[in-house]
Parts: sequence; C-alpha cells; structure tokens
Amino acid sequence: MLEAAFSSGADAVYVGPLGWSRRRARFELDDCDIEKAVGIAHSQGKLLRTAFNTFPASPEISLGLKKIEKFLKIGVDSFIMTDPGFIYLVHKNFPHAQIHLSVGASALNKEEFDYYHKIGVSAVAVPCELTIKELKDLKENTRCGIEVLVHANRDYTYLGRCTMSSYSCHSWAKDKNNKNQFYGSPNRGGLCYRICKLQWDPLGDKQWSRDCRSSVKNGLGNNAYFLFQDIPDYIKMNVDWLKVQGREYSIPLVKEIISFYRETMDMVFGGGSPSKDKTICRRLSRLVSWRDKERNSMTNQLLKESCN
Amino acid sequence: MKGKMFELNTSVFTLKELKNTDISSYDAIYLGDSFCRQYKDNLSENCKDLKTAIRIVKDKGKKVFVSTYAVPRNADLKGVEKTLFNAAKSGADAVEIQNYGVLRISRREFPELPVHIGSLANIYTVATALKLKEDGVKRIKGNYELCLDELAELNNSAGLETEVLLHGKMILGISEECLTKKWSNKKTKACQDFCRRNNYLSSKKLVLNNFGRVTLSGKDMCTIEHLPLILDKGFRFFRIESFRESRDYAAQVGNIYRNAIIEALESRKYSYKKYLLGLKNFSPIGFCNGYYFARSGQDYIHSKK
Repeated sequence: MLEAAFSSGADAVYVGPLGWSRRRARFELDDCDIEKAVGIAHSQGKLLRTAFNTFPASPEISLGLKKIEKFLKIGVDSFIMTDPGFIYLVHKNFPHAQIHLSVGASALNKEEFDYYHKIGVSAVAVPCELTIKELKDLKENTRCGIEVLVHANRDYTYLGRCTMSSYSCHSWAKDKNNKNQFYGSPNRGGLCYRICKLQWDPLGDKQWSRDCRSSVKNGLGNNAYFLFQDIPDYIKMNVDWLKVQGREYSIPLVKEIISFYRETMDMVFGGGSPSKDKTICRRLSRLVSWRDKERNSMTNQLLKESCN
Repeated sequence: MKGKMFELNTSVFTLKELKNTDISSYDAIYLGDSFCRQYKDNLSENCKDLKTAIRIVKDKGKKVFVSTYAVPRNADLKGVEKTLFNAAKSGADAVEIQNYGVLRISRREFPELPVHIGSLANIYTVATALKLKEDGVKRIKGNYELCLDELAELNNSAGLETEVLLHGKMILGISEECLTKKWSNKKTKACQDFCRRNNYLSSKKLVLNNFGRVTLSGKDMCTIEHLPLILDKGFRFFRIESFRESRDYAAQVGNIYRNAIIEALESRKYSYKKYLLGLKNFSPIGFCNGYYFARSGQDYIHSKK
C-alpha cells in the first residue's frame, strides 16, 4: 500500500507501529517493516510518518519512548500523537522530533492549539466538525500547522471523546512486546466496533420515541465523507497537509482516492474549478460507491465480532 | 485526604434543581452543565443564579465547584472565560475544566482559582497527570476507561487529588450538536427540552441514555459492593453522577453511599446488600462496574467474598 500511495501522488504516508495506532495489528507494521518503509519513502524524496495516536497505559510510555528513539535513528520523519503527557515527554527527550497532534485529541479552539504547541506539537489534525471559517481563524492565529482530513469519517461524537465501543465490548490482551491491545477501545489502540452503526430503537419518553424513531433505526451517525468542493478554500488559506484516511481500504481503492485528490489539487493550482468539471464529479461518484461498499463490508464484520 | 476523611460530591445544573434537592449527604457540589451552553437556566451560563447558588451551598458548609463548557470552539471562548470570571468573583472553591484551552485561559487569567480536570479531558496516563501538576492543577478525574489499578497509579504517583466515580451514568460520548434535536423529526431551531425527559436507545443487549449532546450509559455504574476495595486503594474523593435524574436520586443515592462509606471505613464487617436494595429502585436498566475491572464498561462483576 505504501508504494501504491506514493506512486499515486502522496507526499507522505503515516504507518502504525504494532500496538500503537488506532487500528488493529493487521493494519500496522513491525519495526523492520517500518525501517524498510523509511527507505522506500526517502528513496523517492517522500516522508514516512508514524502514528502513536492512542492513549497508552502509563507503564507503556517508557516502551513508547524507546521506540520513538529507535525510529528517529532510522529516519522516521514525524510522529502523530494524542496523549498530552506522552507528547510532552517526547518533546523534552527529543526536542528535534516533529510531533503532530492526532484528530483523536479533538483540539477545538485556538487556546487549545496554543496549549499543545507549548508542549511540543507543530501541527494539528483538525476535527472534521470545524468550519472553513474556524480553520482560517486557527491558521491565522496559532503557531501550529493544520492538517485536514479530506477523506475520513465523521463520527456522531467528537473523535477521541467516545467510549461506546468499549462500553459494549472490551478486553485486555498483551502482545509479545508487553503492549496492551485494549480490544474494543480505539482511544487506547484497539479497534472501534462501530456500535453506533447498529439499528436502534428509542425507548422512554413517548414523544421522543415517536419523533426520532426513523432517525436512529439505521444507526446514530458515523458516515464516511469525501471533502471535495472545499479544496480550493484549503489551498487558498495555506492548509499545510490534506490527509486521506485509508488504512482499512483495498490498495486499488486507496490508489484511486489519492490520485483523485492529487489531480484535483493540480487542477486548482492550475486555476481550474474541479467542482464544475463533469468528469471529476463522475469519478467522485464512482469512488463514493466503491468506498461505501468496502466500508459497509468492514462495518458488518466489526458489528458481528462485537456481538460474539 | 487520608484515613477516615473523605469527600462525596455530585453535580447540580440549575438553581431550581439546587433549591429542590436535599444535598445534605454531600460534602461538595459541582454547579452547572458542562455539556450544553443552551441548557435552560444552566448555572455555568447565568451569573446571577450562580452567585446565589454558590451562597446557598456555602451557607450549608459545603465546598462548591463550578463546571465549565467541555467542548468550546473559538466562538465559545469568551463565554467560558466569563464563567471562570464569575466563579472566581463569587468565591467558588474550584472550577472543573475538560478542555486544555480552557485550562490555559484559567491559569493565565485567574491563577488563584483552583482547577479540577474532568473525565472528558482524557487523562489516561501518569505522564499527563504530572504535566497537569506542573500546570498548577489541583484535582484530576481519569478517563472512565481506566481500571481501578490504573486510577490508583494516578492517585499514588501524581500527588494530585484523584476523584473517582462511585455511582451514576457514565458519559460515553459528546457530540457537536444536540442529538435529541438532530434526531427529532420536528425541524425547529428552538430547544425542545427533550433532554430533561427519559430518553433511551436500545439495540440488542445494549442500552444508552441520551442527554442532549452527550450519550450516557444506560446502566448505572454501581460500586457499592466494591467500596472496601476502592477505599483500600486509597481513594477519598468520590463522585455521584446525577445528570438529569430525579431530586430523590441525588438525595437518596448520596445518603446510601455516605452511610456505606462510613461503614466500610469503620467496620471490617461491611455488608453491601442492604444498600444495594435501596439503589435498585433508581436504576431501571440495571448496574455495571464501568471499566474498573478491565472489562467491558457495561459488565457487572461480583466481589470475591
């Protein structure tokens, strides 16, 4: 997937070290593979970033610091993180390490951006709830770079502020490196079972039940999105990074999404208007169907697991 | 706080609720709703009511803390700063903060005002607790996903007051918008006050309690059976969550836990069964232990005795 992402136009790729990212082991890489990934990225003049975007257990922080030291030595370009204490320690121990704040921290306002900047964060992956006006304000009034997720999913709660999955189904299991996998807790590195995608029945107050039955019968929210029409605005306000969330999708789909965004950006830089281009709009429509098919299949699998 | 001393607290959202609730079982009260700035008569947003409420609680010899909005965007910051100002001016003993931006404002503008950090600030590690200690924070509440041993590690390592949930519904998520309004088929901008009623969502074996922007656990976290263990681990700051519950809930659940804590601290023959019977009336969906035993939040584990 790494090579496919670079060949389709990505400038940087995030990979998850085993046990440390918001995805399960099969979407993560061991240290040897990360070293190889750095080699591939750098040979093409691209960047390799690693995701430590979970809240670890306290004793695991020393393991994390050792891993980050090792990754800095092999040339990893930056780290995306969530836990404030862990971020602060990485910055204190390795002041030259570039740290991005994960969207899982849900940083919502300029004072919060400044708090994280002071503890070592240089860029923030912004929650998808923030408006263009808010992003412009944050870009102009804080010292942090901004990373916008152009393809991701919008949860029905702020990301990183939801424990519904682990409330429903959660267990502890340590891997061979003594890192807890925290199954069912995406905040802690296990996978989200997407409980919000279940079918729900309202109970209790009669009027409330009657009024909202149709809204919740097919789930509470959590829908994947493609940001497309806003790309010219992001470019105009000098957003630093546009990010495609894609680890759970097939390689051909990720390749197509990245090349779609690369071509869209090239068109904007060339003075064109992608939202008026019928070919691009038709391509987006095909991508949405393809992505939805793969995502629905993954969601059904996760819901089945959670019920077992 | 050590030995047989302890603090039992709960939260009250409005002046009317405060006047109608028997708070005699509590040592401290958190005033105001952290989740919705539009909640009618929210003490966090109403300077006059807040001043009166602080006086009422203080006159009863109790400590008073003021809750601040948990998920402020840029446009909310002035309002949140006003809440901090009102809390400081009216003599609150501390403010409860759930957002690191608000912490920054509070320490910069009101350095004398003690700060408690709430569970939505995602304190998972001792490293974060130590950073907050450097920031001048007085009390922390770990994320609900922490087990008892992890909370004890926070309590023992950070040198901060560590508050733990003893009973009530857990916050499972907070959203950008009011979900009761969003899901309603009546498309109106006005608040319909649905969050003041009993709203549950059910799917298979799971029940959630919907409260405006927040999703709460359907089951009530209940630790009455495990109180001796919790006290043995050194915790002394305890919260009863009574969001949107009846006034009897706050009064009677508080009373049951106060008696139970005193019994557990003073006697080796603590018996929880009489207390459990009293609590059952208030929890139609049942009990859980949250994450205290490193299991799914909705599980209930019986003590080994």
